[in-house]
Amino acid sequence: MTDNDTDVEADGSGERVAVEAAEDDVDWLQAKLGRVREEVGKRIVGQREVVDQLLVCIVADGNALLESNPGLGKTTLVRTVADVTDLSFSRIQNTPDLMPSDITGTEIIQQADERREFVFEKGPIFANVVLADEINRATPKTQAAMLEAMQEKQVTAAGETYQLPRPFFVLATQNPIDQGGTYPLPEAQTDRFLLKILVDYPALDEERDIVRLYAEGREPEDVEGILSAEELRAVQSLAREVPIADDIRDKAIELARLTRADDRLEFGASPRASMALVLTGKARAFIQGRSHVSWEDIETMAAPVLRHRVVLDFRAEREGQSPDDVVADLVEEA
Amino acid sequence: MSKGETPRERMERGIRTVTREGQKATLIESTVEAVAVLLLVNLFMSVVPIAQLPETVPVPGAPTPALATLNTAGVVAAVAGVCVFAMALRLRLRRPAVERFGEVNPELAEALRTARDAVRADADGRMTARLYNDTVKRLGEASSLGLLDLRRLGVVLLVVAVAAPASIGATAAGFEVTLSGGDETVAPGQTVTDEYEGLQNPDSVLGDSDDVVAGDEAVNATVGSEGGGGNDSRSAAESYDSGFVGAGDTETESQQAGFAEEERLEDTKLIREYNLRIRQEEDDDT
Repeated sequence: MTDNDTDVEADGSGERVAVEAAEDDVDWLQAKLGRVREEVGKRIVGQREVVDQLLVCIVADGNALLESNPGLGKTTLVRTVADVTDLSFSRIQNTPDLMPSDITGTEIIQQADERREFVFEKGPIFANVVLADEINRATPKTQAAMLEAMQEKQVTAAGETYQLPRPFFVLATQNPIDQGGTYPLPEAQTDRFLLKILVDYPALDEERDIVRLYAEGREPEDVEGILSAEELRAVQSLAREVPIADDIRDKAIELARLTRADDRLEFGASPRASMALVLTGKARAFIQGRSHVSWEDIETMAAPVLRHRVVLDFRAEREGQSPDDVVADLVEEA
Repeated sequence: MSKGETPRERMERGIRTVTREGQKATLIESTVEAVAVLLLVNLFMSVVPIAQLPETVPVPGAPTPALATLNTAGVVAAVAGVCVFAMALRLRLRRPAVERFGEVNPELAEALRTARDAVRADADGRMTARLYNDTVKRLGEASSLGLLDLRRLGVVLLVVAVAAPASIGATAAGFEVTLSGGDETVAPGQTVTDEYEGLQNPDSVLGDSDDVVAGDEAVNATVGSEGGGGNDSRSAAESYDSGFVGAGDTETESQQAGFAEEERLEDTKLIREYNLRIRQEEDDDT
């Protein structure tokens, strides 16, 4: 990347040169994001929408909750994204006996030069990409510790605060079936996930390709690290700068507010949802190579942003409606 | 592109251009619609006069006598035209030009609105600069022709094309349809109004020329005059006709040189206009 902060000359020509250089950088980074999608596609068959939403989440510097039945490749997807973005990766398999210190880290006694001292041993949360598998199987205490770290981007242990590496993402998965012995995340905690991504079953052709790719003796293709951590941070910074028209921003806010007034919803989305709609809209616009947010971006991101932030009224639930149905109606209304 | 112009300045110029194009289109459409309404109202008022309205309206402080009165139909039509123009202008300008431009160039709409809002907010980031450059470039490829509703404009122009000759023809021919339901029978081309309607063919007013029977006796005549304002209660016409023009001993029968009150008062205006013209010509000759 070139330095964009060159001095601006009085006649404006210096500014023009700087702007042109910056534009080259933007184009270059946007092209890289396109290559990231291609690389992920080498290992993940189909699921384009899921991959796109995951990329949006990463570019928007948020955390995602992936929900699907077992065996749909959630772990492979997250691991592939980590490989392609050249980020450190760790996986936490949540179980009811998992303790908060198992995640955040703990102080251990270490002996050095006839001295014993407490040393903080960092837990698996100290990675750029953390896959928290089956997060609803952890106890509320462990969930809270992880979600606090996720929100604050830091861990406090024995009076010391440790910054988590940047960029930092928690990609948590949960299983909608087999709910016995699970601790569903409270609404206040699900609100901290920028997106809730639903991973659905692949189409027949895609499933055939998956079987060919993984069960017929061939080794899955290696993926190339396309985007470094530094470049990803530059992408995140640029995505936040993507301008949005006042009317589109107002409509996004109105959409979040509509969830609070709809009869089919017991609880609506918080202002955090309004921010998330705008942020993810910007991130999607950037990934699509645009320099402004379109209403289509907000429309596309509405369901993943809002579906876990609203609670369906029991009558709507009885009528077989899902949060996605209500959100789709509200998008039309906004 | 001007030298040293920043992306934001270029964008501001682009938005100004879009606004100007919008104003031009608004002006064209509103003017054409106003003209159509003017012509239609004039046509209606010429064909179907409203009994309650006078034929002409006086113009106080008119610079020339010819402008002392105005045709009511024309005045009403002009007022209707002005009202429609103002209303059409107001309705169209109520929606910002950028929005209207975006409607006819939908692929550019969101970018243009975003750029406009960014300029208003004094935004100057890297992505904003990119948006400005991109939008200005795409503005150069966009067309403002769509700002004109060509179908509507075509229909209105057609109305103007039909109404203009009809309106002028109806006014010139004085064709009227009476709504009074009176018992007057109006012959084609003849009007029921006594009001003066401009210069007419003198032959139709004065009748065919005829040889005058001249006398053969030469008579010396003495013309006397007397100041007015006396106690004479006779009318001006009577006194002029009979009393004060003496001819010696011989009583001379005066011929019509004044006017009779009961006779064709509308002709006085015609005569007055002829006089004014003759004086004008004399003044011009001198």
